[in-house]
Amino acid sequence: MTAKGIRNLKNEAVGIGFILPALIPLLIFVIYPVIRSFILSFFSYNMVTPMKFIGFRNYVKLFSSEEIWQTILTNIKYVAVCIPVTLLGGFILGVMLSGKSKSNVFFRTLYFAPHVTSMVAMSSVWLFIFHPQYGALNMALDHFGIPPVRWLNEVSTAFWCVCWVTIWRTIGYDTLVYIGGVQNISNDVLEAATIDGATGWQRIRYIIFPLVSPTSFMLFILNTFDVMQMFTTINMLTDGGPANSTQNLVVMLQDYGFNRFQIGYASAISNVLFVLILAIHIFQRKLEKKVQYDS
Amino acid sequence: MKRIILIAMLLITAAMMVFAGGSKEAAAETDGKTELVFWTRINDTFEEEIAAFEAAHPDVDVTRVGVGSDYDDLTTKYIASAVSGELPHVGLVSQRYGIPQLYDAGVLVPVDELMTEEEMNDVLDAYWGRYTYKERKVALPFQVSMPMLYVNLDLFNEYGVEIPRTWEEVIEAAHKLTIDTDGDGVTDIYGFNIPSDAPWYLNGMFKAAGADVIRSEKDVNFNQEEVVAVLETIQDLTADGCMPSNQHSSAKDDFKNGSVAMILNSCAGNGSIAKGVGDKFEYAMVTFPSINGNIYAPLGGNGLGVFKSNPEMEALAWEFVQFMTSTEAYSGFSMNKGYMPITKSSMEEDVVKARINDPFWAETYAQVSHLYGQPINPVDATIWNSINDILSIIEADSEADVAALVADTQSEIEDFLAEY
Amino acid sequence: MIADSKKRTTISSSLRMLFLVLIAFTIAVPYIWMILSSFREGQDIFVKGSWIPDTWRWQNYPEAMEMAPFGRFFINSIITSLLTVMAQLITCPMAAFAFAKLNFRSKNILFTIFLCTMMVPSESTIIANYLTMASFHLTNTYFAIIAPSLTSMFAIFLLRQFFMTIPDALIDAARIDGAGTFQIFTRILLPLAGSAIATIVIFGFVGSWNAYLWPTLVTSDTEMRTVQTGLRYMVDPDLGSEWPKILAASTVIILPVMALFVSLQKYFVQGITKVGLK
Repeated sequence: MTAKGIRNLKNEAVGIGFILPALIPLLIFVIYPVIRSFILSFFSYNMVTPMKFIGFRNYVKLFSSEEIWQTILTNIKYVAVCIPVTLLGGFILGVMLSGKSKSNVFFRTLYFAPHVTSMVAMSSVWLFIFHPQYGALNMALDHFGIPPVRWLNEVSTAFWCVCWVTIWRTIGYDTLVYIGGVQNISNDVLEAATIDGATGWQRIRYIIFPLVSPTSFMLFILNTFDVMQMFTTINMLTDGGPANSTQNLVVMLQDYGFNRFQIGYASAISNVLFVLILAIHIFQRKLEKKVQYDS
Repeated sequence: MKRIILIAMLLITAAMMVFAGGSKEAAAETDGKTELVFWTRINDTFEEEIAAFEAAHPDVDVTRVGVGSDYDDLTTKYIASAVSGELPHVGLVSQRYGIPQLYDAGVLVPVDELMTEEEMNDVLDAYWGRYTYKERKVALPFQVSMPMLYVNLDLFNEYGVEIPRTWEEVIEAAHKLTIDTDGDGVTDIYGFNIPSDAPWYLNGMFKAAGADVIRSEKDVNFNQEEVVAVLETIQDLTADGCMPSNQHSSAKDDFKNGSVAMILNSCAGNGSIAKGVGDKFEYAMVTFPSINGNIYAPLGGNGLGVFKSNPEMEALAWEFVQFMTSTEAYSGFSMNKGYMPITKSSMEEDVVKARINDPFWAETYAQVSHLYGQPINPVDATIWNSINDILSIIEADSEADVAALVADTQSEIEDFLAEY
Repeated sequence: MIADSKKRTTISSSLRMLFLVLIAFTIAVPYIWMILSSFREGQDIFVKGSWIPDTWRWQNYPEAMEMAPFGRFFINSIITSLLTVMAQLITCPMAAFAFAKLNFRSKNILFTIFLCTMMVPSESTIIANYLTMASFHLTNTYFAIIAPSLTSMFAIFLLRQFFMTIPDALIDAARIDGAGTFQIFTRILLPLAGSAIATIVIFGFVGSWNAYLWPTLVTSDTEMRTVQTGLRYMVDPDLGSEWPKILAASTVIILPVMALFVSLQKYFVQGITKVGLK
């Protein structure tokens, strides 16, 4: 073996050595279950009687059901509604709060609070706020003469309530990350722009916005992961109802896996979700490259 | 320095993990007593009963483990544990579902192996239906509940409505008691609602309407016109605005608050209702509504299952089960919560008779004769969740095709059974 | 002219303040309602009317804490959250360093695999993981509670971004001075990563503190349960729930993470700024 080959081998060993402490738990607790679920999706398995190989039957059943298409659509709708709002809102608030004054620190801390708040603890609060008959929200609206709305109990509103809670949870996080991004822009650039006579709006549109685009992309990607996989919020507020209108793929797979013990079918759903997230991710990466080449 | 800190952290982490892992087993061994592990829901503490049992068996230490907050949690835990083999000696098993799976997994000892003929005959007959699978009695009924119709008497009196006895009368009363108290065009009080365990009540109504859904192990027929007809009455109730659509999860709180005039609810839920209603209004528990003159009050609650271990532990577990189902144990915790007695002989005991003669409870105890122990099947969980799905859809959409939804469920049931 | 622009600045800054306060209020509303209602009498919560309780029932707090062994739950939550943080402090910076600064052939494929694990929701792995834990007889241990979060892909991702901003020249110089790879990692990169590490400490702690489904499934002994599962001890399916007390307990459970975040938030913003994302 050549000296170079030995050096390569050594580099390989050192590199993997550093990764190993993280790799082992991932192998056991993520990668093994994913492979297992891939295999189980070709079986009928109820956790009790021996599993039966049924080929693609789970997938055929899945894709011929109306439920899966509705659920995929809902999943994408969550992304389409929540992500633009949190990104744009986070950007605006990030720009407004990027200074280091005491009030700014107060605001950004408050805005971030929902992100670290347990949804299990908050779920009863939201249920009482949205209750159609004695909920806090309808009581407040009543003062303005607005008739009560059946927030979580009606197909037309439940989806938006879930989106609202999701945005409530994420916007402060995006704000904080944008503050980091804006603070990274060197003052020279901004001052130069001001001397050139750029207005506040122009500075934001032509300088800050393009310069934080890596931040935007990172948030775009991370938020998409979160929204695509959200579970607790939906589970606690509506459990997917009414009429499946708030059900995403994670809630659906949990229903079939945990409640009905159709593990093979649930595994198929989980694989569909994985492929969907992967596809969106690849699309996002392509978009990122395109935008960055253009600018 | 940093490296030392890092290594120290690693060691501490490792030490804590090992320490935490070993502690429980060590405790069980040093005790010297035989440990009987008993799984229940978190809030079923059975403190007095366990203390009494331990007093009678000084060499036994009953370890009660609250594994989940409700029946669904408990079932998930049992089934996962049946696969991994980490089961208790005895446990509360929900009648709702999971018992057939546990039996098929070979982890349940059928109680008919442990009981005498006499003991088996003493259990109220209808109870066995819900605990018999493949012609074996696989668990013993324990905390038996039934659905009752809870009515807000103040509202019935104020608006001069008769207490309904049949499903048609319930629907009629629901229309009369859907009220806009302040005249702003928005319903303030709904006539009727069902809590989130809706499939339980509906199963009894399907039966009364004439549909036998589960006939045998492989013969399950959900797709019957009576099932569709009953579901359509619910669809109409919500379409008419007499029942709040998709509001099952707060139905009990709504009743306590006076926001709904009637709900179906377990007789064992009376404690909660009584506490919640307080002195706001008078209410009563009346007999489950009849359909076509039939009353089928589906049996609910849970049973006690003995899990396979070794003959000595199984015998001890059975002794514990016998104690827990005795009149003595029943008349404490279970009776106060509103569960029914288990044996014919305890119906004759003074303490239970006093309860039967209490006017508030009279209708409930009388309803025992209308109990319906619906046969159990591994597909129960699928039926249960499908009924909830169907309700969610038909309550949201008055035009939804109930028959088509019922047919879809039937094909899901058939797939499940074919592959089971 | 000057007075005019000054006036305009005052107006725009008060408009800005108004906007920020409005958003702050919108975000704080659920908390305000929760805290107010946690002092109500048992059934008052259902009564239409004011948000302000008629009578303030301070005893809800001590009584809520007595409804379940919350002392024990808090200890468990603190231990498991700290263990999670410790484990992530070992596993994540090392992997992030390797992905950012080392060259080896399997790096890209490994990083892709790591990234893919972010696309798997924990709900789809939970049953398999429970069976793994049970087959090693590890249920009801602290280890089982923290096991799936021994490492965090999110933290690796963040730290990698940060390490990539450190110039290679710094590492090359150290190498010439004879430092080994591990020394470079511990002596040069880690000390620079202070605020980025504060960021992952917060996320690790919060994630573990707020976890519900997994800790509930993998524990059954009351002594091993955490605060989130503890809330379930207050919901009695037969006897009904005392909502104000549940809200009181919820408030108490939310407080520790809030305190942690408020105390670390300065480093947290620094960390995110340093991560740079360039």
